[in-house]
Amino acid sequence: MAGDHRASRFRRLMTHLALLTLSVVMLYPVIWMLSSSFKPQEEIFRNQGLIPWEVTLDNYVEGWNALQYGFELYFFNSLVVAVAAVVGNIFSCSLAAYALARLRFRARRVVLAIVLITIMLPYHVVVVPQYIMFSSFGWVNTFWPLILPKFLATDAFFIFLMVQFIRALPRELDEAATIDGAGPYRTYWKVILPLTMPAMATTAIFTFIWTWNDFFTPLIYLNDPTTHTVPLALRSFLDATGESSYGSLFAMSLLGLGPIIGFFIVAQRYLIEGIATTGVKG
Amino acid sequence: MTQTTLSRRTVAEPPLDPPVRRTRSAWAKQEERAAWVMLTPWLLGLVAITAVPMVASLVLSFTDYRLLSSPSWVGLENYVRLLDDPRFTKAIGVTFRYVFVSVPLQLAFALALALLLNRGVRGLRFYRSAFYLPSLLGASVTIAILWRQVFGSEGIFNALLGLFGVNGPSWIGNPDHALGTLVVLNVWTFGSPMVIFLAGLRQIPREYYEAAAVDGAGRLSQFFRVTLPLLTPVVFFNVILQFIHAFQAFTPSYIVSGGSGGPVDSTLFYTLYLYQRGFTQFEMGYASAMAWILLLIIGVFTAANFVASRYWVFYGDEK
Amino acid sequence: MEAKGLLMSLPMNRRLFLHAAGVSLAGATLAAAGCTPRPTSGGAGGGAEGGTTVRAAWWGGDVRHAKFNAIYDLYSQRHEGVSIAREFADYGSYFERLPTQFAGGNAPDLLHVTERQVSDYASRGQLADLRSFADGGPLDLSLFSEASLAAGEYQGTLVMLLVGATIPATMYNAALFAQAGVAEPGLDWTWDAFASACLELAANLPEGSLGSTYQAISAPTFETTLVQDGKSLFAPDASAQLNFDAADGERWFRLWKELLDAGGCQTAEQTAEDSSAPFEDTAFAQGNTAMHVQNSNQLVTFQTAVGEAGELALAPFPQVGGAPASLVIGSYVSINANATDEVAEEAASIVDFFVNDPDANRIFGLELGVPGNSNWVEAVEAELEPVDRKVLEFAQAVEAQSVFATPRPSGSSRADSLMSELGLAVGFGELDPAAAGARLVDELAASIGAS
Repeated sequence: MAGDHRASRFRRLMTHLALLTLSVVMLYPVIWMLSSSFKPQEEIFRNQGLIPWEVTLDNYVEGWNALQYGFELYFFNSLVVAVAAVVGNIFSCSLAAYALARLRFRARRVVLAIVLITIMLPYHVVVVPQYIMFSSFGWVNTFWPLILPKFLATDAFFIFLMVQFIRALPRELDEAATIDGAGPYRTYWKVILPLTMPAMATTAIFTFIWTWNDFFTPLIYLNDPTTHTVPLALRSFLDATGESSYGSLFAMSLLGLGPIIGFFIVAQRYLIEGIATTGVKG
Repeated sequence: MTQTTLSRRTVAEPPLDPPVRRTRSAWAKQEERAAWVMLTPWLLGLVAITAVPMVASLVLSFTDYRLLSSPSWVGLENYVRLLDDPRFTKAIGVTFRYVFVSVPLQLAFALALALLLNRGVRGLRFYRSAFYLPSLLGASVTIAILWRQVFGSEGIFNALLGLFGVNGPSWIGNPDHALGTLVVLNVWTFGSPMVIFLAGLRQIPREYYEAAAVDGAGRLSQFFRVTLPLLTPVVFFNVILQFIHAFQAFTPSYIVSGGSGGPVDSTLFYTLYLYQRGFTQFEMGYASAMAWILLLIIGVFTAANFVASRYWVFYGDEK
Repeated sequence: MEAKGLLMSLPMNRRLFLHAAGVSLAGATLAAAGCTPRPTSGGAGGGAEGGTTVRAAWWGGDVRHAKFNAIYDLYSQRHEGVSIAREFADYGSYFERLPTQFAGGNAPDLLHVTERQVSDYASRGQLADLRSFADGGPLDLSLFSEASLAAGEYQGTLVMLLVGATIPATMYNAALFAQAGVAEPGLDWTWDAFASACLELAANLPEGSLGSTYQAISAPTFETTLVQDGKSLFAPDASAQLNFDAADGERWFRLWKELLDAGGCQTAEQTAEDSSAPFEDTAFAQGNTAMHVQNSNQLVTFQTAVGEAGELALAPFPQVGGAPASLVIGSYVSINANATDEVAEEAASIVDFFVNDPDANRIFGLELGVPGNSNWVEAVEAELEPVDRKVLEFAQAVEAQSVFATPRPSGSSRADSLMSELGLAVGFGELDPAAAGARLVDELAASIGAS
């Protein structure tokens, strides 16, 4: 027994050692960026080691106000777009997914096939037709082209994600609800939604991050600097035809990670609170 | 495989016995109506946002469309020209190599770590965040610079090799290795499939483990009898989507190679080439033709996966 | 029209871009236009109507954005009721967005282009004739050199106006030359002098230092050697024709391959690594190679990166062809032909302010290179930083041998990526110079649809 105990402790220790090593390897580039963000601009490429010769906060202080508007505006814009996108995707994709995973209707397979096909077409060829369309609505320089599609379940990736999660749920769970006389809507609301919390959290996390990081769509639709999102602003620090401000780029990139890390940390609670912890009975 | 609670039937069809004894047709009608109500947002989006540009791109693939002037019909010419475009062939080769090496690696990594973390390691939150952090950066412009720090001739990787007396090349500058660094980049961002796996693992009802334990199943046998079968829909999802993603990979090469797909076209991803044709050479007709060929390739591949899934994916809604 | 006639009779003028096209002509145009040489108030009449909004777009980084913003703010201050909506992005993103905007009929009124992209827009009638704003209008072109105006013409129409010219030139690290005891290059040096300098540098400098970066991958540098033979990459009239042959390409690749094999320049591998790196992190900026070819106006970027470790200087790219010559490439401003008359008129007034107003000139400095109008140079000359002064002096020194790059035909954007691909393939030994020369001609001809 005692030997067994020691062996398992040793194994745990090794697990942690392996995980820690992997964490360091995984995080090395981020650590490098963090260190560089505290170096004066001229030092960044002269001293490529992890330890700055000289530590400065200039990149943060100056970077924040280096552009036409302060970064608070870009953060605000990004936040508006990302939060709206999360709400939109969770609402529209989970409804569609429930219908596709649990309800029987004609054309179900066809709909599922169409959902998948819309994932398969490379984005770049629909850019121009889509731009022509949105621009004719007068939606350039508004957030609509970034938000509205999410409320209309155009991120088919998440429909498919939730279909798979819902289908993984044992059928008895919602059967119990139906026996209690619940219709499809109540089953969706009372049974499926709570039970697929991990899937919802995943959807929320991915939507938030992908929207937050998206560059190409905002580039095309958000021309007015007052509507710029964080990635657009970050790109302003870089230019192939002139001087670039790498220090500010690194500093603001790291600050830009803040909200997504924060969102991830909050949302990951719901990753854990799935069926495994809440149980299925009751 | 011993299956007690789950069947192997995976045809995308829910069970046909409504549990409530109302009249069958009334129930079916209610269900059908509810389905379409719930699909309304999607349907609107399909018609208003997705379908029009998609159909437009299909039509444009039969035209000479130079973006700034109106398209003119050329029939199959774009498709014919693709057949002897050496860069097209090159791009297909590069993309297939990337897809079939990086996706299995990334998924294996993601699954292994998800299983490890799911065992309730102390510091789980820290590890999960640490492993996920690179995925947050995956599309950032800073990646180009960071990747040089790792795989440039003076990067950390060569510094490590130097400890063993190996004088490594410039991994990103050498056409034989550049694609390899992008594979590593993709594996590095294994956080997304890992999170999906973790979510899937969390959704497995504890009762199944309890039942299996009552049957006297050990940890290993629990894994094969409960965890793995119940996780297969999520594995399947990751396989399908990561493959589609990899086929459409654009950003890694676009950022790391500065948009060129170099050195010497060694990282010329399919969509990067498509993009160069469409947006820098203004040949949107040609680019559209490429897009639909890619759709066809992915479609065939996905369909094959769906067929194969009948033999290994188990859904909880099937008996 | 008379300007064009003059250009034809005086072909040598094409090579001058710093000096205005003769006082008599300038005076005549001035009189005709009824403008004063300092036309700050030129657009005031046009902008008096309340609520004109002009959309102005440009590319750059934060440093340049700040300059543009300051100039446009100043303009709005001086012209009540005019607001300038700004759209900016880095070079790559800018040219990603622009075609989409034009395709959607929603492009900016005032935009910046170079000779590389202008045909794509001008050939479809998307760019306004700038001369139509000059005669009696708000735009004063009188102080522009003939050559700079000619360079902005597409098939006889002035579709873009020079705001900065730059010369792909040899940038060299004087400290490394001194350290190796190698004589610095002169204005009239040849490839042989360049190659032997490279080898000497490599031999005399510490291990790991090299003479030059590997420039077989650079289309503008290759075109510089073509210009020395009176040729160019594409037909000067922007028609779908090449203006060089496979032998020229072969000569180019062979020269570099020989230098590379002799150990005089960077390897292909290092070149590939550097080609997607920040300037500051390339071998030249790190002081590991003594020479590099780069647009002359970027001297300041590199000097900042190198810092006190070495003083940088400029020399022309060595003579490979029949006569010494330097290629001049430019950044230009254009007006969208789809803009309403009122907006276009206001845009022209903004352009005039940008290029002719001394205050605006001083804000912008030589950000995009040497301007095409003498008054701009005069406005900024006194306050130039030493590095910028070097750039200006270099441009003046090689002015007599300077030739403007002409608008490239549609589809020509492949030139740069193709050159890079073939140059590296030769460097890696995957292609021999003859095969690379042949492929250069074949693929480039195919991409522009040459018959």
